[in-house]
Amino acid sequence: MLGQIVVSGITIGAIYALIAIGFTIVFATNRVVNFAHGEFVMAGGMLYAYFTGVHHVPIAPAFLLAAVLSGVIAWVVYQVGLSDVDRDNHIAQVMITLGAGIALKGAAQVWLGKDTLFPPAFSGPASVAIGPLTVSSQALWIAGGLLVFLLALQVLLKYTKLGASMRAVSLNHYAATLMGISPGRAAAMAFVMAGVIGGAAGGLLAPLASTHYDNGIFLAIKGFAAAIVGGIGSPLGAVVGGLVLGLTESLAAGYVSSVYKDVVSLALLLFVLILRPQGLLGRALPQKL
Amino acid sequence: MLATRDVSKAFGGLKALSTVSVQIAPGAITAIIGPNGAGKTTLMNAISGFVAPDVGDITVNGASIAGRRPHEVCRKGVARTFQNLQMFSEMTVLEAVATGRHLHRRVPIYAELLMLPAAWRAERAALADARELLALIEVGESYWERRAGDLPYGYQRRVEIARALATEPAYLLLDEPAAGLNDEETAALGRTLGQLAARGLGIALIEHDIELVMSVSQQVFVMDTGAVISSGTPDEVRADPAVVRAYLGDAHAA
Amino acid sequence: MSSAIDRRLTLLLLALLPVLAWSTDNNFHKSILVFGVVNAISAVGLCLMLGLAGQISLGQAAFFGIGAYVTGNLVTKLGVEPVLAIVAAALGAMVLGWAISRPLSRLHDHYLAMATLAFGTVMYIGFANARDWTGGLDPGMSVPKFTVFGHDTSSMNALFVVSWIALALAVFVANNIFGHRIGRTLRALKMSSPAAASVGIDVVQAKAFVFAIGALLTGLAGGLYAFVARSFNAGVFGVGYSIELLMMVVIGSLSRVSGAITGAFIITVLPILFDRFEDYRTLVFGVTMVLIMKFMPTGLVDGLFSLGARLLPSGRRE
Repeated sequence: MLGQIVVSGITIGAIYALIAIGFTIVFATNRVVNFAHGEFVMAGGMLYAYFTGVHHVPIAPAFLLAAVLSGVIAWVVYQVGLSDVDRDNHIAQVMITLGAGIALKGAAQVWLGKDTLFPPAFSGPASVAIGPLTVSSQALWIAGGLLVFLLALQVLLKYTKLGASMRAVSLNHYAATLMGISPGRAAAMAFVMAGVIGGAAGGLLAPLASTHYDNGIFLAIKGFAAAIVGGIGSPLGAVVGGLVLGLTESLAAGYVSSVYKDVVSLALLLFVLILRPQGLLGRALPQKL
Repeated sequence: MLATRDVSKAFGGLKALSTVSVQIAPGAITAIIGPNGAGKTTLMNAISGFVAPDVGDITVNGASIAGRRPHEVCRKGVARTFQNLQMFSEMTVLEAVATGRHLHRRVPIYAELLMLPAAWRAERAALADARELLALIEVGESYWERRAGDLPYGYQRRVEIARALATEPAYLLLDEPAAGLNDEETAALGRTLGQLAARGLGIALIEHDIELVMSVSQQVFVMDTGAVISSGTPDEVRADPAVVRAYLGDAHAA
Repeated sequence: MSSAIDRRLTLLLLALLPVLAWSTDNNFHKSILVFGVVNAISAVGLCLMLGLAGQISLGQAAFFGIGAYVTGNLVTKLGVEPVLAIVAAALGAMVLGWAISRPLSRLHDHYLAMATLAFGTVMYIGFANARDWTGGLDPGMSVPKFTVFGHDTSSMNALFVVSWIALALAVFVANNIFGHRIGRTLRALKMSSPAAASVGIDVVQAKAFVFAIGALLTGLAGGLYAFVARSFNAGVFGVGYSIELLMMVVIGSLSRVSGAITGAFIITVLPILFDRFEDYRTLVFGVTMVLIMKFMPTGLVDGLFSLGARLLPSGRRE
């Protein structure tokens, strides 16, 4: 029983981690909590279901297309919504990203429909046995997806010029500007990456948990919770936070009640926000006056 | 007497204050000077409750205020201004100063929610007090209904002082009040500070304008790298070789 | 727009509502008007929190729900006099608002928005699952007719009068807060919290105050809603309502009582006028919100006013 709970906790935790990575890179470069981020995930899942279900596109291209389109959507949200908004106008940022998220949800409702969709899993056998445990094959794809994206992200941040400029902007926005780095470009790229990774998370999750135009905000809260628990700003923290959250949830679902598993993870978010806003792994920053 | 005793504060590994003891006397102007990074603003933040000292005590007339939160320190009669303006930009000048009367409300909250006659009287009194303070600090009547954030810099500094005075402090901490002022404005500020001290207010003045410091203050503390390196009357400090070395050196070598 | 003009506009709006109510015999139109008044009370609460004190809340639906469910339970299970039940429910919501603001007091802007969103979601899950108290999503809760000391006052006219009085009270208190000392205290909090603390304002307490009053008004609206709707389920109290409230304040004005009331009516009435386009509602909502925040960040009605003020004098000169 415990083993199976841990497996499902890691699976859902990997999804939360993928969503959290999007929050984290956008926050690091923009100092914005993107309230539309959950809708990128929703879009990924819905588009994947739409391409495979309505247009009978094969699985691999449908998934890639969904992820790329989510990236495009994220880029549009940044360009239209945030690119010219004052960095210090936090309330406007909250409202604009929230509004953009609502618009995306509305667009999905109009163009992709209001039905709950059950797109196909990525590969044949529904589940494989690993020792005494049964693991769904989609869960393996999810775990693999997380590893691939983490690796790609590390390479991009460490070894490319774009990655270096994004790191510079996240460390010191002003100094980066002085060094001739365009913070706008780094910020836009962060949105694109968040969109692609978020969309991929949506596509990976959809075969396992179905997809619906209305579940974006919920995924956003969970992903944000993972980002906060691990310490927002660090991709590794996002993974740790995602796994902590996923395991907490599946333990709660297994031993307490599946109804209140969401309450447990949201309570964890509130506790960490209130008691340790820098996250379980992060270090406290001195307040500037 | 407003006093710190052996106050130390470190941020991470950086020692911002080490065993700092200063005394700010009522009815006098006490200057705290020193090069950038000497710890003056940290000292002021510690006194006014924005930073809790690691060790040491801070007392107002013998009662400890160390580690109290800012609004509690204000209630003990210590008010301050900010080096980087912290103006209530969207308020009118009059409202911004009247906000400083917050503490001296004598009306229960339900009376304010219902605006009973007592609340109206208190409201009129607060605005009248604000006008009086603005006149005292020489902000002309034509500015009173303007948006505080739109005022020229020097005027915003004065409004901040008026706002601090509205709390009826016994001690007033001013963090570089002359920064950005022209000579004429600085001279006017000096006169105003003198008048306030003559009424019994104890003023702590953090300032880079040495001329202003030497002409208005009765007592000077010189800080360098988080510690007090000299103190005394302006003349004594001027003659102290340690001060000349650490701070006035360059100016006097010429 | 000065606060004096705002006050006059608010009074004008308040006076206009009964005229509208009595100019129609159509019960459906009247009920929309009553729902508008109920939403306006909620919106005035959020306006105080967000517009005045800069405290964003995406969890207002929780207070609305507490208002409705406490009222419903007091009336159905304990037989409490309806008006007293509404008052008790509003006070209950106020206590909850005060209580949650204490731990949240260190958070602002993005984090506060996310934390209140999480709070609202937790409460929604609670409403949907505490079926003994709420009826959950299905069958939901049914509330008896609204009565005052045993007299049947459940007609739409009577409900309008009761809700209108509640709105008038809310507006009276909100106006008193806005223009005077408490309002200055809250605005100080929004503009510079260090400066606010430096003049002796207890920042934590001030936040708790505005959360409490926002929750009180939204809880009051929830209590009234219970009697107007008579039958409702937990779905009403989800994140959707919190966001609708935010829309009301954004559409009207971020910092005017009159704007909050206008916004409440626009958001209540427009979807009904355009119910053929029901599917497009969410999309239009979102796009509108982005556009307003980008081009008229003080609110649509406010923006139109200042646009008008800029155009008018130049028009006269020509």
